[in-house]
Amino acid sequence: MTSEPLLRVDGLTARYGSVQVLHDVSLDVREGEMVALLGANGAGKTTLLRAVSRVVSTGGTLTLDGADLTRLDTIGAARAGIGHVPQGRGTFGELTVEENLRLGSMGRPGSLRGEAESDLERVHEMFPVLKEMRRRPAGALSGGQQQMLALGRALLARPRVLLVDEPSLGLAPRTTAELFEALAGIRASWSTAVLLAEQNARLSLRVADRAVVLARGGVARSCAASELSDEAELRAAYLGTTPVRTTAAKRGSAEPAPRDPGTAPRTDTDAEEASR
Amino acid sequence: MSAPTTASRRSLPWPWIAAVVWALAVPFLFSDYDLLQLSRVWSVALAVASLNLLSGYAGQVSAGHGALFGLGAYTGVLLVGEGGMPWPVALLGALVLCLGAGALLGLPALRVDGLGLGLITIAVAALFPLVVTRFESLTGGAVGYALGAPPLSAPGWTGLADAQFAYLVVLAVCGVAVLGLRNLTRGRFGRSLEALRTSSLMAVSNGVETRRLTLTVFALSAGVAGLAGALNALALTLVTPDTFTLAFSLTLLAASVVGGTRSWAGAIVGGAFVTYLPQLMSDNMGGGSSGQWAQVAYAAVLLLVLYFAPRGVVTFVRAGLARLGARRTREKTA
Amino acid sequence: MTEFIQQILAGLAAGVVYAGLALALGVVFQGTGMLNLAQGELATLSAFGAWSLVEAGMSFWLAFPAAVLLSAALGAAVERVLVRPVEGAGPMVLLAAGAAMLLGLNALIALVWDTDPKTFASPFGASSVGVGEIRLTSQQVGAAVLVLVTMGVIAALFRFTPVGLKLRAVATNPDSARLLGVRTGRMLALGWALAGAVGAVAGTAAAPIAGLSPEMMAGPLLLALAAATLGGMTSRGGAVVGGLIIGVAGSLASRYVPGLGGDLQLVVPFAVIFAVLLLRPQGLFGRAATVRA
Repeated sequence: MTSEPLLRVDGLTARYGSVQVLHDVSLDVREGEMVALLGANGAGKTTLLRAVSRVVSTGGTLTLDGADLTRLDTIGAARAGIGHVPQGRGTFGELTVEENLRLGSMGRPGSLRGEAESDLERVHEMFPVLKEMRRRPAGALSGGQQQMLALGRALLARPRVLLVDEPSLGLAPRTTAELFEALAGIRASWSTAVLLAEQNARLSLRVADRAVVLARGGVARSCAASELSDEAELRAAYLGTTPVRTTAAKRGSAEPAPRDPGTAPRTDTDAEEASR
Repeated sequence: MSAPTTASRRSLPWPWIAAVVWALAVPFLFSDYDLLQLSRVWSVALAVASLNLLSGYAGQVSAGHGALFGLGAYTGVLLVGEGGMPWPVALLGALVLCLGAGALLGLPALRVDGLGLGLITIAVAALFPLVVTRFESLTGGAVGYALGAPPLSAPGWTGLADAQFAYLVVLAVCGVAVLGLRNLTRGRFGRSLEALRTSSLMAVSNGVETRRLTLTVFALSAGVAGLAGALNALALTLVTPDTFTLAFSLTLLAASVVGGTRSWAGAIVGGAFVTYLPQLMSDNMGGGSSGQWAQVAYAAVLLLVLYFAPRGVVTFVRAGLARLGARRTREKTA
Repeated sequence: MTEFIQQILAGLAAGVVYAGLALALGVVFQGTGMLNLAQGELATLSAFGAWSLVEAGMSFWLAFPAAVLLSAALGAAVERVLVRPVEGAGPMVLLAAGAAMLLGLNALIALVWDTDPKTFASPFGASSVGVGEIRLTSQQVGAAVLVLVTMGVIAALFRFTPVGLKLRAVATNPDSARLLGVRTGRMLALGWALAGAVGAVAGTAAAPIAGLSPEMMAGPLLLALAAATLGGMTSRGGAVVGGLIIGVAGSLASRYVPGLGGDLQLVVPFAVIFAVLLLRPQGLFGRAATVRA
């Protein structure tokens, strides 16, 4: 708990033109941890991910393993170990599946070059369809297959933190289930931390360790994933009106907190933030 | 004094009024040669304005307005010289013919988004002088076609010299046409253009409608370019094919960008730029290579404007003046 | 019949030059989204550069690669210095930047080397090759081989090398490429360098036949634009096929269509652009719609 988090976001602000999209967002992602980023449409999830991968410029602190990310551009952030599976997958439609994956491998750190082949095999094991279709242009794949391709491609770059944006968007429930099964395993097998932005809260809470709920461009709630398994808690967190737990609840405590509107009006004082 | 009066007084376009007064006084102050040059400025400004309508308001690019200008010029001169028409009919003829030519070219070019219009207009621009030269019996070939008598001759009751009259005609027609374009972009038509330019969503959901609108704008723009060409040629009483090369088309494009594609005053700046820059170069460089130096200067000015004043010099200067004014006010109040 | 075949072969030999220029246009367009009107002037500059080196006493076979390398460097420099600042500013601005470069380069070339046409001695000698009555000059064959080999090298680079893969990735989806750490800026400059090199080869190959003058590439550029339109702006292979078709069409039209000789051959590219836009706007091998992010 006291060790420096792998990815640290502190007081992050972002705007598109005159519209402030994020104000004062703070959250941490630790080594090997999966954090679910929840929130309604327009809450700022995508912007937050794009800020971390330096697609949008921001105010505030942003560090990866202690190193300042705000001074980097998108390319620099990628090379520093930020992987990003963007919304809409961002595959190279005209390139073959194999070429898409190879582009992922090209981005990995030099020390891991030797493992590129075995990593590719692991991706093929995880998503056999990518091996079957390896000579097909990526554009010919179904939505679910493209999502798998985008995930595999990002993993092959061996990121330290992987940002995944709305992977279930537009997918059939079965495909989504298959994808989340794969997601659940990647922390351990690819030794990467994951920040998962997803509208489907129940699904992502099942695979994540912790959850951060964004509402109206700010953090409305930050807690262990299990704490939000209660439907009412979740809904309240989404609306950003939760009277938050009175005590600095520890990570992993599943017990719902007693509700007391008087104690903590803002969620910024949540356990995780307060411990810093 | 009541507030509304002050407001309306402030909104009077003083620079424009001064410009109009100056433009009207000019024929009685300057030599015939200067008047001819100024006629060129106005007519080229009109061509640039037609290009502004297309690029600044409809978001399309033409690299061939020089050829349309040329088509109008030849049409105007030939209608007078061969057809024996009076000059107003010649102007109208050039306008209508170029309108048709624009519609014809725009039909395939504007079926899809993208470079279609750029490609087809650049081909037209390159081809036009060659075709004109080839139809020698009608156009006079490479030497060009000269009118025996100046078609814009002053009627006796005006008491004006021909050069003065010609200048005033050019000024009047260009003024009315630019005003027309300006009003067009402010009315309902202008609002649909604005929607077309800014909203790709509308373009997607309403493909046929936008294509028709873009085609209309291109045809209109081509027609006005033709009118400008006819005015230019009737004032000069001469057309030659090497005036309307691809380089001229690109120069017009440059003038439009330099003045600012969404500025009507910018069109006049553009017209002056095209007319006086070569003269400036030949005055200072001399010799046979002044044309090339002018071309280098066009390129340099265009690049500079693209980098430092991408919305054109008029907007740039206006913003600079506003900043200066703001600073003065601050100093006064301080 | 013999004459017909002869015309087709001559058209192919000429078409190779258009194909090379069209390939250069396509590589730049796919990367930068810009129709580089100055591509022809860049090629002209290369041809003059090679000519000057030869005039200074250098062997053609040294001067030629030197000019190609210099052109590649110039292409990259143009991208970095002139194009990069206005990259995201929309097609109008990019086209205007291209127009500015065309006007400027054209005039600069005329100022440095004046406008009198110069003869560029063929490096392949004055003999001819052929079967029976069908004959081509060794210059035609040599120039065609030179351009074809260059295009082959470029195609292999795009198809088989990691750098080629990155180039294609940047052309398809620059945003995703950046997220993977691909240095997109470098790739764009490299694309311009490759375009400059192919253009240089095309220009130098065309010079002994067309004669050296500041305007030597004006016609070929237009034909190359038509070739790229025909083949599809987004298809490198299409550009080459388009160039060859345009070359043959031009050769046949100027021989068999009355009144289309000489300069007026330029009616052919105009007609091709017109027809392609009307019938198949994406070109023979292009994608139906390019959505650029």
